[in-house]
Amino acid sequence: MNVKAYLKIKVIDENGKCTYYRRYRSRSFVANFLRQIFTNLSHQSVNNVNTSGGSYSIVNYDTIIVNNVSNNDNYGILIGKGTSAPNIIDYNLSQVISNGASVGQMQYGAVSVTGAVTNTSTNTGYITVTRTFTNNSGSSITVSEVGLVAWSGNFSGQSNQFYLIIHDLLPTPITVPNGSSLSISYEIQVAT
Amino acid sequence: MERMRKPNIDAYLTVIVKDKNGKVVLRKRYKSRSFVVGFLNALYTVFTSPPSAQQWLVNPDIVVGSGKTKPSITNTGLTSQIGNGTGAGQLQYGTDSLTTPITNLNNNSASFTWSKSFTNGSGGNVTVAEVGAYLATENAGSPTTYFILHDLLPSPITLANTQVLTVAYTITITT
Repeated sequence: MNVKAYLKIKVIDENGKCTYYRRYRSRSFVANFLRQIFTNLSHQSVNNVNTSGGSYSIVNYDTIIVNNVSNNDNYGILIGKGTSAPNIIDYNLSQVISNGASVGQMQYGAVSVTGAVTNTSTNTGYITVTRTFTNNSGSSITVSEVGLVAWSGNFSGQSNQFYLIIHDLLPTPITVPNGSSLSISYEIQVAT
Repeated sequence: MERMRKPNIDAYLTVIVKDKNGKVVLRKRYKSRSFVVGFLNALYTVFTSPPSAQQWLVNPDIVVGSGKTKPSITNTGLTSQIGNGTGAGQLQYGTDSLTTPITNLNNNSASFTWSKSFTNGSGGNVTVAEVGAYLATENAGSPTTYFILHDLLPSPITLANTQVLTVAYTITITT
């Protein structure tokens, strides 16, 4: 079967030592993602909900960009401290941890996306989306939810919207000490 | 590895054969094995498209074939695609159609259906053994096409002359 997502989480201390690693099977995609693909392929406009909770009409030129730059928490992988169970109509994390070095903030690194890796022995392939978050807030921060937010683009005719496409609640919240960093990867996999 | 819950994106394949009077003579629904690496390559392209050349998805295209080779992750097309037309061994390809997504809050799922009909006007039987689909990415220019789905039918379907085969992929996400 089909398309699965895995969520990989690492905590790295200030000396570069990995102090925590988990790999989860993600619950993952929410309705916004499906609606975006639908409009792209059908040229029939439907409404999505942006990360502010506002409804907007998808246009067929809208896209699904996730590879954001550093120090920007508008899109790409986002982290939060909410504990609500994900829902198919979620449009943002419950409580986003914003970018920065102030109390309760984490510094967002750039998003990287690696191209498809295929394994012909197992008939599987995957791409990986990764972002690192550094805690320079002065105290520990607990992360309990993760999401992937896409940007529709602002090319001529595009909507210039940010919209959630994946949302996961971590089975166990992670406490990131001051000076440590948290690396989050979404591995999107197909199996034939 | 800890498991959070169920996946993610599934595809179901429905095949329907109607006779010339519109009567359904065969209907099957399968869970598709389905996605191949082209889907990831298309996603990668749109995920990473730069601000100066943003790419989006276009051009859905369901295809049918007569090949019987088991699908592989690296497939870039059907084993033996049936051509469009009314010549011997050909089928007349209809238009790809997509239904508006339905969201079901009770089971936290959403889905849309992508379908296409193929009419046998060849004058003889035509057997369909495999199904697949393409899409493309585009940036206001020449699209790049990706083969994204490939399924071998558990049982090949023989279409008599004048019969119509409808192939429908239902793409479902579950949160």
